[in-house]
Amino acid sequence: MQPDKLTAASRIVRAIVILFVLAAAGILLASFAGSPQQRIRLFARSLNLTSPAFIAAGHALRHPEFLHPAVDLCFSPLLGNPPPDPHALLFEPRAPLVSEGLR
Amino acid sequence: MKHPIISPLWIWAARDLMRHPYEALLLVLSLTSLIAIMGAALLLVEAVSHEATDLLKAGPSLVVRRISGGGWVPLPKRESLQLAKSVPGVVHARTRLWGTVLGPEGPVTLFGVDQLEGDLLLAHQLSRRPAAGEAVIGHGVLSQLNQTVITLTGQETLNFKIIQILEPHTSVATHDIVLLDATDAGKLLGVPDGFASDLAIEVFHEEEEQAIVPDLAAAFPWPVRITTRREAIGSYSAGWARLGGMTGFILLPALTALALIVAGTIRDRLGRRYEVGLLKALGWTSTDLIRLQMYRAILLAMAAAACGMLSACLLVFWPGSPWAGFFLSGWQTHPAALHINASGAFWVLVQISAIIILPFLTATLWPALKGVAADPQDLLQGHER
Repeated sequence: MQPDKLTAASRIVRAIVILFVLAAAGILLASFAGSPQQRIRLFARSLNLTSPAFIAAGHALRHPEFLHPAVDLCFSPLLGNPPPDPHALLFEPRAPLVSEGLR
Repeated sequence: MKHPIISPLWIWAARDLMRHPYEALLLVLSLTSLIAIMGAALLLVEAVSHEATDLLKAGPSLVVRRISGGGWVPLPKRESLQLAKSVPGVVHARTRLWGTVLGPEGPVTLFGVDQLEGDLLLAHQLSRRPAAGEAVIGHGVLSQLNQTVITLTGQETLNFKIIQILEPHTSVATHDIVLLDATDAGKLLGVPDGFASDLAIEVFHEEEEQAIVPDLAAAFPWPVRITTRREAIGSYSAGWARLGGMTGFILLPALTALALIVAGTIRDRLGRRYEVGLLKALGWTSTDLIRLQMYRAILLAMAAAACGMLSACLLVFWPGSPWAGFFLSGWQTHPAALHINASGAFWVLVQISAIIILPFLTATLWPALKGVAADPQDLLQGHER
């Protein structure tokens, strides 16, 4: 026998309420459950880690201390390359080999 | 139909939804997708930044690297330690021997474990300190974790016997890390005995980090680069904030879709004025009619919020989910499997759900109020015309 439409509607309401309560409770529990922070911190302290392993090894974001301070920031892989300064590309004019007075 | 807990009007609202089941299902799916996408994007950036800051706070206050014109150069261990400890304010100083070398499946971060570090770790994580020719590897170094030997290429190419694979839930710190005996690590990195990669320094108070930098730099007879913990956190946060800027591209179409849903809901509700007129003619009060409309919308919103919040949470916090590392962090080999702390997730998701659900509920309430204010005869005749 097919269930009455209102019985089905009642089941839908109950299902939605239960789903909502379970989802909210689950997320709330997960929020307070914590994570293996203690063990991760222990590694960070033991090895003196200065970056987490979210980014691949060798990437500038993983090891920012690799960036040499003497290197101009325009060469940093973290920034775009600005156009070169045309004055820096020109040679200084040489002094005349024979001065006017000696000529 | 009587129900001990649920008001009959809720059941009527659900019955009303069943009259157009596919439409209701599509609406729930649309709202779920919006909540899941927006929630996952915002949760990920928030959670990763939080986790990274937490980890960096457990690390050293300052890192001192010796530099030359060509880059960084190893520093002598004993002399550096003596010089660093001579600076007032330095509580603790340790040398680090580390660098990046080529593993079998991409670059890895190599650490040389000396006796002191080995003892600290031994008690908690490692079965034993790696001896010469042995390696402890992170969970993401190899795709086939049943291998017993790993080949690393630095200054030389050497094979090591794997004695332990670190637990995956410590991946945030150890995903691509290889721990070797300090002598082996020195050989691979080209660092001679008695030298180290850099110096990790602890100061007593966080505020001292920046203040001590000039004294520390002056204490060494060679040029050094000093990175403070605050700079490291800033650099990392800025990087992730830039990656998080990508979420803006996700939110724009999501908000457009939300506007479309709101407009569609208003149009749909206004198009059903005949039903409102009919119910009013049958004796339903204005309050009952508004409640029916709102209950109908709330049922859809509750289903969408539950599914959307769960999806967002599972996408970001499911232990070991690699998608974020693959898409956002530029991993070309095995992306870091995230095992992130979910604290604070609940309120972020509640806010996201509210941002999506409230406009939808408002879009339902407004036509409902407009409908109940009209004369039933007008509503019925309006339909007939």
